[in-house]
Amino acid sequence: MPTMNSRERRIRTGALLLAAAMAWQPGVASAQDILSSQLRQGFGKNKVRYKDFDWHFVESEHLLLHYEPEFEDLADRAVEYLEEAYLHISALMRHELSTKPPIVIFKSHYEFQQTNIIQAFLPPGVAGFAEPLRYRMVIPFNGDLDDFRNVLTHELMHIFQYDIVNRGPVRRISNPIARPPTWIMEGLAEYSTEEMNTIDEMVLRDAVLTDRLIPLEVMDSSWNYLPNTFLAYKQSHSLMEYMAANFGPEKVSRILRVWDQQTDTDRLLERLIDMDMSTLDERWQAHMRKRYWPLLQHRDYVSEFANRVVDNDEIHGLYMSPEWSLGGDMLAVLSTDGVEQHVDIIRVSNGRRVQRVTTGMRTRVFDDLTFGDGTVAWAPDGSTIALVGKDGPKDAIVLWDLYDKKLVNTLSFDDIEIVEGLDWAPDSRRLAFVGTGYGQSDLYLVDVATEQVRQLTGTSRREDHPDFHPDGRRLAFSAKVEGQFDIKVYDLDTGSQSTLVATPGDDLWPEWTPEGDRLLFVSTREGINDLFLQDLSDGREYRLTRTLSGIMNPSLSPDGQQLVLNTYYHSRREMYRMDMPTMPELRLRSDELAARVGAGPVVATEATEAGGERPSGPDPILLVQKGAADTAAAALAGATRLGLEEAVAILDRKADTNQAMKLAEASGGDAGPAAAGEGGIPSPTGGLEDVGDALRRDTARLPGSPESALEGLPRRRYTPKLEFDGVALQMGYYSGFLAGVAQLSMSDLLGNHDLNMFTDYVGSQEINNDFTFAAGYSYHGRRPTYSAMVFNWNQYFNDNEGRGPFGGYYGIGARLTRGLVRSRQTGVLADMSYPLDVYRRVELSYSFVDEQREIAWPVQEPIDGSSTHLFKAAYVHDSLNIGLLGPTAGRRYYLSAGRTLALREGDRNFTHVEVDYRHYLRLGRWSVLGLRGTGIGSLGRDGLEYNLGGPAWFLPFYPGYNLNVGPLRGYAFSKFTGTRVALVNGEIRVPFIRNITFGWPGTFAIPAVDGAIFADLGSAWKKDQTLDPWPLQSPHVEVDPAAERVRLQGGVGFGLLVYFLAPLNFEFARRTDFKDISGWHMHFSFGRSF
Amino acid sequence: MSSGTSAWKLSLCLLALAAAACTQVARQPRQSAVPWWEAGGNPAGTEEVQQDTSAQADGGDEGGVAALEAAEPPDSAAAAGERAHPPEAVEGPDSLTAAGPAAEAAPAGPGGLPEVEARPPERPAPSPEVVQAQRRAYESRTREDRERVERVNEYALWCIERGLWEEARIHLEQAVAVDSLSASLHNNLGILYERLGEREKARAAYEFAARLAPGKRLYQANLGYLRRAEEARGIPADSVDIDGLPKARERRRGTAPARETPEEG
Repeated sequence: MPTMNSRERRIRTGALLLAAAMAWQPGVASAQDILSSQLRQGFGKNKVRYKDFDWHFVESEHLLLHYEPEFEDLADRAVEYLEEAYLHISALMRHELSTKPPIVIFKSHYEFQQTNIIQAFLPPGVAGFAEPLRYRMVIPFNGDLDDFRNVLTHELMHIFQYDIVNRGPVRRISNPIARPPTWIMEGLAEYSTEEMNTIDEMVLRDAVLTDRLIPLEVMDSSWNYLPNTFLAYKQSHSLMEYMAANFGPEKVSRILRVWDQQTDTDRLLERLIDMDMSTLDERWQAHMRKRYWPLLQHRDYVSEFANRVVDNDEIHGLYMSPEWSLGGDMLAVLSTDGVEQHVDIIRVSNGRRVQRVTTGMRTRVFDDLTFGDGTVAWAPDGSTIALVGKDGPKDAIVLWDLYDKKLVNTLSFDDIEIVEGLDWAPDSRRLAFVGTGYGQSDLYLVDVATEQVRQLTGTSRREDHPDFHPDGRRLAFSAKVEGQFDIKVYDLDTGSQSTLVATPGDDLWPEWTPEGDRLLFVSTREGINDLFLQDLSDGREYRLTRTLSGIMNPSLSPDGQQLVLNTYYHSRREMYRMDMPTMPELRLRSDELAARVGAGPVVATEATEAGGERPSGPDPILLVQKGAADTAAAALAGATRLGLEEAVAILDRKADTNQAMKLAEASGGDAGPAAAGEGGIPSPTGGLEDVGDALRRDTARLPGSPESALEGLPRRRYTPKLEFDGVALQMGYYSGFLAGVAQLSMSDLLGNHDLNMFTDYVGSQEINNDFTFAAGYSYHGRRPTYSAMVFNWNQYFNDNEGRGPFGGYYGIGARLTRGLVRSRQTGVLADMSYPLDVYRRVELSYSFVDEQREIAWPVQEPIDGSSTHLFKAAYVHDSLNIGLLGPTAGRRYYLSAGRTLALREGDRNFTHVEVDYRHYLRLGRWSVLGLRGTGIGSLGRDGLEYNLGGPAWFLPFYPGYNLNVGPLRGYAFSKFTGTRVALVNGEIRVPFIRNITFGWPGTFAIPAVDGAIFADLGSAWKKDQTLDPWPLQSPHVEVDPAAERVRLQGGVGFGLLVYFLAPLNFEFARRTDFKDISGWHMHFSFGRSF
Repeated sequence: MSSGTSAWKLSLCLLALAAAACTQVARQPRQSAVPWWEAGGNPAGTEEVQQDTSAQADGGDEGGVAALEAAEPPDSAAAAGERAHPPEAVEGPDSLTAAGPAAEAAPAGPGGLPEVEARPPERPAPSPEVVQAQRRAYESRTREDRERVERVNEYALWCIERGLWEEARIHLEQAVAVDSLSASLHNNLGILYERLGEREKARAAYEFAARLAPGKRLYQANLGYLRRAEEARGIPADSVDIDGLPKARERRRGTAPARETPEEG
């Protein structure tokens, strides 16, 4: 994806121009270069600053936390979690940080995306980041406090790693990019967080059982190109656990210190644990097989009892969150092919697509499709599909009418930024969902006709997966209590809650059967997600599955006879369909599944009635879980090398804690906000009402927690202070000149203010005391961004124009010497960019450039000069998906217009118009047809000249500003020059290779190789020339011999595009003027294809 | 008018007559074992069928009211009506045109329409209370209701084209619950029942459609096909006319007023 916006590009362009000008004399930047760079419009998506943040910070014992007062409760928890994590990591790594790291938290991912600390676009999968230069950590809240704690811990571990590896600011500046292998860094960070959850285990277990583990050597060398990064994280985590368990935790503590002395991973491991990388990998894999293969004995593959819905073996193909149609013939699913994400309607019988609901990420209704759990819901009347799309700074529920096949309404809500877990009421009018956006997530209900919203819960605990009872008056949902999910029921009439299912594991994804007397759900009680059914009429519970992989997102058909679910198999999420057994079958199956591990028939559990008390006597849940607890204890013991008794004791304690919590809730603490009386009550009549502030925050902390981590700590408003980001020095010697350029970059902690200063030194026997400078400032703290640069820059070159008395030579003493010309550029560049949304922006700029050329030595004599006042306006649209070798889908275009203002005689005078349109049509999953048309007209007396010819953009070591408009292959680079340029390109790119790993020399990966065929057509001409628009000139057309005519030039050919560290293009083309065709010419260039 | 224009028109008429004759020859029962909906063929009928049926649309006000006297909803529709609310709208999608494979499959009669064995309805006349209730419902229909029924019908056709029978059936039954007097809905529901093997329900639906729009031969043709299929036992149920299909297809092709779709940004 393009991640550089115009502001960033501008600064870099300026820096590049000036640095290039000084470091390499052949690439002298002229006024034309500067003006062209101002006029040449760049692409890229926008980082839209929707909100004016009000930042404060608090200084605790070990860190500086930056937050907004509107979510101080979350900041309170963050400080608590971070201080705990600091102590934990400090003990683990035996290290104290050299400085207090500045940490910035956001209350949602969408606000996190607006951070300027990193300029790159942050896609939805990014949970946070830590940067090594200034030790800044930036973390959003995703709705779950446990996840929040884990991400904080993970990123804080990275800060520790940077501090250990960098050892202070001097080392940091001298070698800022040296880092240990990513698997060590990420493995350590994961190791510092909590143990793996069942989804993590599912991924790892699948890789072990299907022999798809990533070799450690590959992870070590090619982390960035791995097709399954999630698995790589989990493998790294498991490797660290294995090393700690088998060689002692102190080995994990020492690993970074050993790396400091030995950066080769093989030798590092030999010094650390006396074995090389491949031996470690082999032993760890053997350990994992011993751990998971016994499961084959008494667990089933999902394919043994269910059928795959979509017969698609593409590794990137993904179908999730299935929702049944009214007739049961179709499913609405979230789908992706690795390039674009969609909501599709597929046929249940064969998985083929019937209808595409969305056109990916490029609709005007919403910026982006939200691809999450439960972000699609099909209304029970069958006529409407609700989906979630990002609309500006927050999610919106988008309603798609099945009859009209169009989007009919968009619902967004104040203060709710993330929407997920959609579920329709039986009346197809109300929609329940989980909303996050003010430091916690809660359940909501919206009437889609009136758009009235009712907040159902108001606690800091995570709620998820709401499911309406068929009577429309109750809602089952998962709620996290002390780190584990239980299934609760919310009564919409009274506003009260009760616990329905509570086992020692997580209880997730409740689904009522159509009759409403049974509840289907997923339980992780044995560490693997399995399906269970609770019969509410007699309180009995039945097990439906005992799977190897695990089950996610179950969805019952409207008639209750079929079930569609997601599982993880062969390193990808698969969708399966199974028949729901009838009750007699279910009893038999449940007994059989329970008997496999010797636990005997499953004993009934009691459903806790609303507001009721648990029955006396032994707790049925614990009795039921006896066999399961044994298995889990064995797994825990295997994972952590505990004795079996110890593991059982830990699980018992955990179960007791859960039980105590649940009993406490059952005795009154479980009532929802309405029943509790505190924190606000929804409408007593149960009617819909607007969201009130009262419900939004849960000020009551859990028992055992400290009162407030922020209490007593100084809290202050954030004021920007510029600090050093980096210093760059370049020195060069060229033809008698010693030239150096220095760059100093500063920014404030939040990245809103950027200051870049450049200065240079040029010394030679002819020039003394030459001191020039440039300074650029940019501000990104508001939605429009501003940047300005002032410069006074001298450049020197030999008198190649022959102005000296002897053709560029002067007599000095008894010899002739080459004269020296100085080009002095003084000016101001001012830009403003206003993003309309992620994809579109308007840009305005003013540029003043004064250029004076003079003979600087051996005489002082002016040559010429010019001044330019240039105003420019541009409109840019960019909604591309970009792969490693070029765009893969979407389109981008811009229209740019500039006009000079001639205030004095001799000022430059021209009008500039430029248009560039590119469209990429997908011909398959990776194949793409790229079409491009561009035209430049620099009209008037002093029009700027552009080049045409050769490959796309970058030739190796091309030093100056690239005035080449685009690829016209088959010709020499920049062969044609003109103030007018027209160019059309067509290119088909097809994938040859994806993700190939080589073992010699050394382990390295080539992630992509494409083949291309292309055709280019274009020409460049000047003011006094005319273009023959038709390539095949008719012999009957009378040609004015006085007019200089320029013909269209064409090029056709093929290419091999290879991504190895950077895109490398090997292109072979033949040129033609439509009369003759040349032989083959080869081009080599860097950079992505157009 | 010049003589040249007259000659041109005369030629056109002759051509049209010749084409009609050829069409009649071509309209023999299809022998293909693969039903059109599985083969993916276009079952759209000829232009003349569309013109003819649009001139005698079933859901026009007069036709609909006249039909009330003799009409009674089939069991399925009545049952659907009971499950939901009482019918409020009575007009069928009169803008829908009738055409389908039957136009090709059936022996053609005069005027190019299939010649069918049109038996008079044998059901007893509905009670005055039923008629009265239906009339009230018919008169109180709203434009929204009519449009919704038309949209549901169109969606059902979309499903039928893709072989999504259950989906189409359940939506049409819902629509019938809203508008129990739309002949088009009943006809299409009859097709679905026939396809799903529920021939009694199919017969009732066809008969009801034919009663609602006695002037529309399409429905009687479908009834005739059903009877012949029952007699022949085993003739695939592809010889039926799906009401409104050509228009739905035109709309999708863009030759009819297009519905709004999300634009690319």
